[in-house]
Amino acid sequence: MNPILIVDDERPIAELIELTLLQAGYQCEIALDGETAADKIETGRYDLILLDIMLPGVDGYELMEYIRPTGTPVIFLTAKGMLADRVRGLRMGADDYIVKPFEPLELLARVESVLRRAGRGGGLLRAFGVVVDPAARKVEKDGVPVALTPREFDLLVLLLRNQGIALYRDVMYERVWGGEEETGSRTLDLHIQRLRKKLGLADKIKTVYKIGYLLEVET
Amino acid sequence: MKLAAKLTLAILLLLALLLNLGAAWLIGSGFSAQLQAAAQQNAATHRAECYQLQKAMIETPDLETQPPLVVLYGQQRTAQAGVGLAILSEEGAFLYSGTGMENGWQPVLRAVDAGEDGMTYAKEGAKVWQLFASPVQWQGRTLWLVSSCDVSSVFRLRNQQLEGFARLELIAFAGVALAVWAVSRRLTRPLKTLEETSRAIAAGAYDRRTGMTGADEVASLAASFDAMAEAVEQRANQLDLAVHQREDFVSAFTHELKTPMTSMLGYADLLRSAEVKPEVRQRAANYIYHETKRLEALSAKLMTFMALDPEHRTLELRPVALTALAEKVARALPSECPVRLCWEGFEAGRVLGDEDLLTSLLENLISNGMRAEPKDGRISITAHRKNGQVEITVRDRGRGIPKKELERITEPFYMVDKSRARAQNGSGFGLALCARIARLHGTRLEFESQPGEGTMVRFTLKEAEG
Repeated sequence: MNPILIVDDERPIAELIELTLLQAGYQCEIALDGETAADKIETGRYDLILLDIMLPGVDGYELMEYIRPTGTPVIFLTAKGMLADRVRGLRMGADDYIVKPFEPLELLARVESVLRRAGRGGGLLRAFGVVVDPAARKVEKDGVPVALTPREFDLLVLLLRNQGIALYRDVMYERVWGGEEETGSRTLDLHIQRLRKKLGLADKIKTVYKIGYLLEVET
Repeated sequence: MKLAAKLTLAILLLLALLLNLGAAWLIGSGFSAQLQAAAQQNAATHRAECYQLQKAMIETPDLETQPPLVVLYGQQRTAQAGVGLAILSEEGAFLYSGTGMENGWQPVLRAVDAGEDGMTYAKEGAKVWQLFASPVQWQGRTLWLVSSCDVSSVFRLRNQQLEGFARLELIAFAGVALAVWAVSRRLTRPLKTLEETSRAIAAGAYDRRTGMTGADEVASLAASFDAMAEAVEQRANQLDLAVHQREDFVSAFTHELKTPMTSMLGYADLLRSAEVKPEVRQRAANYIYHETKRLEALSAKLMTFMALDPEHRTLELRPVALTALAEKVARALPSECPVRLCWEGFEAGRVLGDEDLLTSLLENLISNGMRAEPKDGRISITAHRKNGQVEITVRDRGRGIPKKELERITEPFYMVDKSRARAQNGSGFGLALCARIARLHGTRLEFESQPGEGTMVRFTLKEAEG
């Protein structure tokens, strides 16, 4: 698995994306301007490139000329949200197009989707023998498919995308159940129990005191 | 209907009217005259015949009671005089009929009814006769003599003339119609050009002109039209430009807004959803803080910028002492100034302007100079008085600005070096603000710069009286 290249001249945003991807288990590299990006593209190999169109100096669209021969999938990032710009972006060979401001989770979902489409076994979440395809909503443990309810599936995906991070209960709740039910804690705990049992991850999905839950990082 | 057709029709109508009236009058009066002349001559001939008959009555008593003699007489006279005759008895019986007509009865009787001084006409087919009837008397005996004179030739002549005229009229019509058509087409061709040009312009080709020259009314219309088209083109360009500028502004602004928001949103979400490592938490909080400050700076500058819109605002220009201005600016700048400010020419003199805005302007320019990191650590600000105006110059020996960027630096949001500007919470607004302040004072910012050598900004203010 090759790293993902993040090209954006705004350091805060580049680092934010890096954090999000790292938590989901991806390796990343950052380029803060056109020249560095071009160098890296030429010399490195990446599974995916996240590219800001409005780079100072080098046009994001120009960089596409470098990227296309490598066949690496590309997602455009930009503040320009007009339909014409989106169409232009997609025509230029981008695999997807995200408009700022975006929620990091949305970015993650798009990344997974593009990686899956690119083949190479990308876009899958893995840990401890569990392989999850978020787009197809399929789970396997050691090659054997596992049946999970939709909520269990969403919860598992959330844990996999934040490996090694202690997640807060109410946010977990909000993310998976959309804040529908009133008294959350029991449902959440029950679901965690079932996941631990169905996937044999009892010792990997840890309870974190006063905070919530955490899925350990596979070393 | 087309102009050419209208014109042709009108002229033809007039022509027809005139020609026909004229011909009618001419031919008519000629005809009448001829008929009149014929009538006179025939009347004389008739009188002569009457006289002859009278003579015969004198020579041959009881002529009227002997029809054969009358017939003989009649035939003699017809052969000799070459005129048609009819002789009737006093009671109206036909004694001799040699009028030359086929059915002469009715006309003859009518002529008799008309009496001595009357003249009647008889028509048979294409022939026309003038008939004269008079009673011829001798010693109490009366015979009626009717002369019939063939005047067909007069009528024939008239008809010929009419025919000839008709043919002439046709030719004249055709000729005139053609001529008028051709001429009016020629005259209206410029109008067609005018129409085509205006249609092209209406479709969006604002640079089209008729390019017609000449002295007549159509040419002068074309010249006015061209002038109007010029005005329209300029206005259209102005509007286009304004729209572009607005679009650029909105586009840049949205970008400047959305970028910090992405960071703020993302890091805040991170912090609230998970227990992250302390250094990550610190980094997140840091970024949120700085991006918020950035938005704050942007918002403040934007407000000021909008408030200084030259379209909607006029300044009240008051006398401002240069010394006071220099002091204010020096105080506004941060106390730990990395560069030394060299003021020159600000010891005396007053300019017309708004003190606060001028302070802002100078402060901004000096800040920019500082950021350019002058090699000699100095920025010089000079005021030069000349001809009732004061020229103020801010000069630095810093990084300089490349030539092709120079014309764009006063655009809102335009940053020559984005990353450096961002690091100082800049968003490309400072010079746009300065440019507006200059405009409100009725002046402009002039820039000169050499990359690696330095930059100079210059503007002129009016000197205050007294």
